[in-house]
Amino acid sequence: MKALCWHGKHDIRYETVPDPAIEHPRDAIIKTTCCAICGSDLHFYDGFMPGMKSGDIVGHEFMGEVVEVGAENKKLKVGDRVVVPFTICCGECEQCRRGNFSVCERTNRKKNLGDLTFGHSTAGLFGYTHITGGYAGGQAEYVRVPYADVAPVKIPEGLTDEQVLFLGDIFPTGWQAAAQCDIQPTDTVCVWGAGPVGQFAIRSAIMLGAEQVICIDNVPERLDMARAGGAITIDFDEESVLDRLQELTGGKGPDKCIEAVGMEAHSLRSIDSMIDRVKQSVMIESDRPHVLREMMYVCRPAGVLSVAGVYGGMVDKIPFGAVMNKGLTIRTGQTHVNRWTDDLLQRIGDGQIDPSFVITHSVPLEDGPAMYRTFRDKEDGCIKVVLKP
Amino acid sequence: MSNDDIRHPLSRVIPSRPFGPMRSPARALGWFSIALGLAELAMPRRMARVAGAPNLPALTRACGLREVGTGIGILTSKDPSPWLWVRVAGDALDIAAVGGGLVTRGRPLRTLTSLAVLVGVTLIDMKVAEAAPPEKKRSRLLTHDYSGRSGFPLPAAQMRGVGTRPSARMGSAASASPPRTEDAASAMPRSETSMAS
Repeated sequence: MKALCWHGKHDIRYETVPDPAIEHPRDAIIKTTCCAICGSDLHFYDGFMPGMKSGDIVGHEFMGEVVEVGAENKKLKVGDRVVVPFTICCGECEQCRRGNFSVCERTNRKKNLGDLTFGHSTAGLFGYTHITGGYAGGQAEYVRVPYADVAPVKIPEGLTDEQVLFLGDIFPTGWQAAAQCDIQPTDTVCVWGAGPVGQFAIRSAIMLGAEQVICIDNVPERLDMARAGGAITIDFDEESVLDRLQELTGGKGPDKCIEAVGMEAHSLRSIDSMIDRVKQSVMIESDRPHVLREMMYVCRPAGVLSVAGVYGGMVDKIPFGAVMNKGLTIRTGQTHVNRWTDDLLQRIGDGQIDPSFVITHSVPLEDGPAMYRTFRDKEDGCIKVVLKP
Repeated sequence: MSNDDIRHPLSRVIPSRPFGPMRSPARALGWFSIALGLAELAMPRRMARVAGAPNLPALTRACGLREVGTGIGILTSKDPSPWLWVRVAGDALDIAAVGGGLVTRGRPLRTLTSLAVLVGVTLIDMKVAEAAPPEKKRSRLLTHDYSGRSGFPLPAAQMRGVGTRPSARMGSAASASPPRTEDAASAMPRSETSMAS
């Protein structure tokens, strides 16, 4: 089959690789009909994600048709149309039974790496670092889905691939980011980052009742889309974020802050972010936490910091004194996708939201390598790329 | 509320974000200044020897501090022009210092080479300083219009709160937004909208 494979920094190749096969009786083989490039894919594309190996098939946002089912899989049958969450979960361990699917205790087959890196291992993920299991990803013609009788979401007739694809990651990610804020009707919610996850976080915050939603970024097209979703926008290249938030919140700061940027924050206009760049270049800091620091300072006391962006390693100079003394709550984590999919699928079906709004580019899978660069550099108004095998 | 009243206290300390493109010759010079300055601070004798300048560590370190400060100024200022002209002035001082080495150290080839490099750097600095963007807001052109991409069937304001109620088909009574209450104190904390089955 054909697939997108990682071979190093800025080196994604469209290659012929062996077809996947059933390895466990609960597996299923999915013929991919639609997949996407995620912002977190850029972390390994830019060489910031440890644990990648040359030849790894990438991609964790995908859906398709079931073409083969293991003998013990009673949930799926050949011909089912499914969206596959990026987190692999067993449905049986204590964490899964609590609904903490992204920290499933069984599915990371490289558990020792996870334990070493994070203290305790987390769930296996599709198409990502070997620290999270090294499972082949979905930017491919076919994918083996382990524990396929648990996570995959069956899609009813009447919904297009583009409407439901993002149920596997970015829609529940934005929704969880907003839900973690425990939004009250008088809240101002501020979202850092107007990429795809930020766009869904904005709309989720609106749907969950925020009185005012603010979004911070510097890309005009992304800010335009954020305004379309109901956000007041701040372009950090044009004005002071701190002062504008003061103005919008009557000097109190946003009640709830959502971080949808991650470890490669791109601001270079403050001393702390310049220092982060220098330290990262000599590998004494792995992540760039400028946005985290800013959130910690501006958040209203007793507020919530909801961190959806992906971080991988160490960050320096975190104003934890501000966090502690203001009584801030930090909620974070990879998305517990299956916690949200039933409800969100229902809302899509009921017409409350059409997630396809975020798609700006749809190309054949073979154009994937070039689209990684387009997506990373935000060229041609690129916000979200869908790939069709 | 006055403009000063609405300013966040930290914005007085943290430099304002500058206008202008992210990738520019001014930015490259800013980083170059910082790198050169750090080298002069860390290795003053070696840097003076390489440049053919007098072996005066204190002077070299002072130049290093100047370079680092200038670089930070270029990278964090709203208008980098004044800082770029500071670089030009610094170049003149460096030429004078290295030229002094020509007289005192007797290594004419190395010193002349350094002077030639410094003159070249000075010309580049002057060129970039003259071309630096003016101190006014630059227009940010939108290349694609995404203003119609809300994802919602209704204006965002009418979608507020629909996620706090069980899903219902849009247009049904169950999905209509309730009137907003003026009494914020009556709002109760909400639990997460769906849990694992």
